[in-house]
Amino acid sequence: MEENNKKIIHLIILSCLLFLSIIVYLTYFQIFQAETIVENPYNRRQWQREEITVRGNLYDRNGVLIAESIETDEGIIRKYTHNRLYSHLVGYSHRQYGRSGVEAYYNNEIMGLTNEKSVSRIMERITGEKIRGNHLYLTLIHQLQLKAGALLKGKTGSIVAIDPNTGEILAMVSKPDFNPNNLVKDWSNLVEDERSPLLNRGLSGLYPPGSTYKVIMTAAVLENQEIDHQYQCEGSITIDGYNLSDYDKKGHGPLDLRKSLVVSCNTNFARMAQELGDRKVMEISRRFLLGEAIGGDIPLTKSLFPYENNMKPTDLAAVSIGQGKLLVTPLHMALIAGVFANEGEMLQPKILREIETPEGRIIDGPSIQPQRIVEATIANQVKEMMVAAVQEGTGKNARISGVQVAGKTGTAENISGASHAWFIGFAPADNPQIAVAVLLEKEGNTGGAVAAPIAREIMREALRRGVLN
Amino acid sequence: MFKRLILGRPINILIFINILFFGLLYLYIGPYDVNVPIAGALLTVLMVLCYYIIVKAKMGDQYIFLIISVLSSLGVVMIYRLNPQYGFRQITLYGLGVLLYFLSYLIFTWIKGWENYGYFYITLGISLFILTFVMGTTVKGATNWIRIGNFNLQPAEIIKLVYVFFIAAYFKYPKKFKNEYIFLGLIYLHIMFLTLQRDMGMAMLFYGIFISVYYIYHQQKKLFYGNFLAAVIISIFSYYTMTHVQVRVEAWLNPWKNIAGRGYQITQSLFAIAEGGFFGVGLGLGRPDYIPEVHTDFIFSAICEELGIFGGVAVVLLYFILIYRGFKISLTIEETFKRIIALGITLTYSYQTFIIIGGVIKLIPLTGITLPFISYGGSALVSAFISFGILQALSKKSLQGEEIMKVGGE
Repeated sequence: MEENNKKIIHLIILSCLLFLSIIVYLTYFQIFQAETIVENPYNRRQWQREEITVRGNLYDRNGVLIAESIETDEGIIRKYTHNRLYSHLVGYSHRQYGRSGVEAYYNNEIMGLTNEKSVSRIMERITGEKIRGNHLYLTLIHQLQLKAGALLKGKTGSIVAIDPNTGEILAMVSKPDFNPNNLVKDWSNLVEDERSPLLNRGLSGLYPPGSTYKVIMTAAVLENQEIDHQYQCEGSITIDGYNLSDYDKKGHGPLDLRKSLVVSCNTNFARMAQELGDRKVMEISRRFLLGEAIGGDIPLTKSLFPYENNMKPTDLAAVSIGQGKLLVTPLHMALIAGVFANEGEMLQPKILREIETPEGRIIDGPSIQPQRIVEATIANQVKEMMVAAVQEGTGKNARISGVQVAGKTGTAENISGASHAWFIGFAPADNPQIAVAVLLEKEGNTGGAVAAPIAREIMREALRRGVLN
Repeated sequence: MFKRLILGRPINILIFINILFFGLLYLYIGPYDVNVPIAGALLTVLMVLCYYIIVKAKMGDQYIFLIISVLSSLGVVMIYRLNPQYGFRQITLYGLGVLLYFLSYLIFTWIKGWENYGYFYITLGISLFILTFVMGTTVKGATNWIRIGNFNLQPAEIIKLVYVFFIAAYFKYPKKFKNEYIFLGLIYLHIMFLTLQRDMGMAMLFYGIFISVYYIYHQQKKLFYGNFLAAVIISIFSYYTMTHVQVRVEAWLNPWKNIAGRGYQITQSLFAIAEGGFFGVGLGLGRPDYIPEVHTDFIFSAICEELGIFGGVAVVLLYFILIYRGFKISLTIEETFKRIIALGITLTYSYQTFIIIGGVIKLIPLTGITLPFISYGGSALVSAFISFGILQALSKKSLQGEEIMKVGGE
């Protein structure tokens, strides 16, 4: 009998565990999974709520209307005032096609779900009144966005402009684009179009960074004083049996580190990467968050840095000039430029400036923490060299009279054919107000020739308006 | 004063809960239906009345009926909220259930020598299975219903109880069945029938009851472990031979792969639970009607959506107290047959609750089985009331001191 009772107690313990597992799992589910599950487009409750909710309006930082909800007899219509100008970044909210961009990331805020009390919800149910969502003020500057849209017209690529002091996104354009007001009419073409007009290239387009990556290599060399940067460039170098040549193959003559960046000498960077060794190259790349999550309040695709443990000498050479298996997003490159503008600290990207509740209360957007990437002295030395690259080197087309511009060009070879043109930079160098990344996809021309002038126009527009001051 | 009024006696909590529930229901349903508060009042009066009968007539454990009543009230309210017509029918079924509760209490007490009918139980069980096959109709892919006139009967719900009696009778007089292998054979015959009916939830439940009782009363260790092996073999075999088992497992492992198809039921259930959050969207304010079979198999998801997982956890804890009472009763009974009956009934409802709740929250593969006292469905409700009526009778025996034995500290 004694034995018998003991075994019954075992069964009681078993039942306890079974019931406990239900409770634990439910709690786990609610804390870690529920939030994403609710947002699944197959959850019909979302759209049912949409019918009784007036989505909040979206504005730029100065109150220029970007998206609004209009109540009509047939229901609520979402209207995008500037048609294609904000197609990717602000995105769309459509019953049939789901949501994208800010409309998707901040759906809960726009729908007013974050500040809703269930009591008031019951009241609205009973009175039949519609629930009002929050208005969102974004960090964007409408005039700058207009300029960026115009500059990129007819091209394929992306322009990203950020405030290097805060990480706020000031403008982001991706082409080809679409008109969020005409989704029903255009959808099948958009989906089938081989140029992927629905892709936000600024956030999710992955490209080899080309020579713009040399700014990171420069920082690595500066951190390692023992590396000899004096070099006699003859236009090509042989590494592990492979021949690597400079863009114009003529040779740059005698070079130091500064001059190497100014003329964008591939061979010297490839040579210095060999001296640095794979451990240091990988370490600094990871420090600049290549292949890592960056955070911020907008979902930025991770850049790719698929090297682990040992890199072959040829891999090292390729990475040092931003080629190889290395791929980055334009926003990431703008943030990297921002590191040198911001004395070695990287900021997380930020798109939401303020939330205005239906009652008119203002809530600040999430605060962003800077992250130290390199020492200030190193960052400032690289900055000086980037200024020189614009003053007297490959980035001459980015010069603005009366303003010191820092920058770096890039021309990235890629398997799909014509090369991508890059420019990253910021201005004014002594008190940076704007950092940009310009990418032109399969442009077939150098970054200095095509991307730098676009960057110049964007920076000039931002500085001329002085919108930040 | 207020505190004493509410918490002074456990029955007051029940009254309080019912006033809240039915009050909310009355206010929620569009054209204020007077029948709702009337039905609620009647239900509550019936519960209070029965509770006092149990207390005054010294019918044993006072808490069993109380917990069942809270669960049933919640069931009625949820079902009414989903479908008013079903709600009123569930109240009628509840009345019938209470009647059978007391009836089974009386019959089980009056008639002596239940332990002598081992052969009868097994014959009855198997006959009911065969009957299901001959007259059965297929509902939701499982051939486990018999249609009589306007009523759909689920024989497995009755077999469940008869099966417990059979196991108890065997262990009381093991010699009657020649040897252990014949007993084991008959157990697996049950499981085979259920598997053939495609009622995987019941098959799991029957196996669980058997293996638990066997764990306590087995003679040879080797044979006990052999049964685990058998379970593994049966599971693997049915996985590879029956596509509906594969479908279930697939839908469990990754329902998001095919939301519109195989994963539909479970993902709809998860949407509901996720939507509810910790405190729920409020009674009548959610959309549990998006979940298929919400009033039977998926009623727990509806509870989670509208009352939150706090409501869900409260329900789980109520079940836990209920089965804890059951275990306690079985510990106080010395006589083998009665002890196994008490244990068997307790285990049945413990495992059944776990199987269905675990299924709808995607903790284990989903199998169609009802949530005791809450799900809509006559057979299950009636069977549950009969079972707990018997447990009530057994609790009286244990409390009367006839067969009381010393359990540490009691």
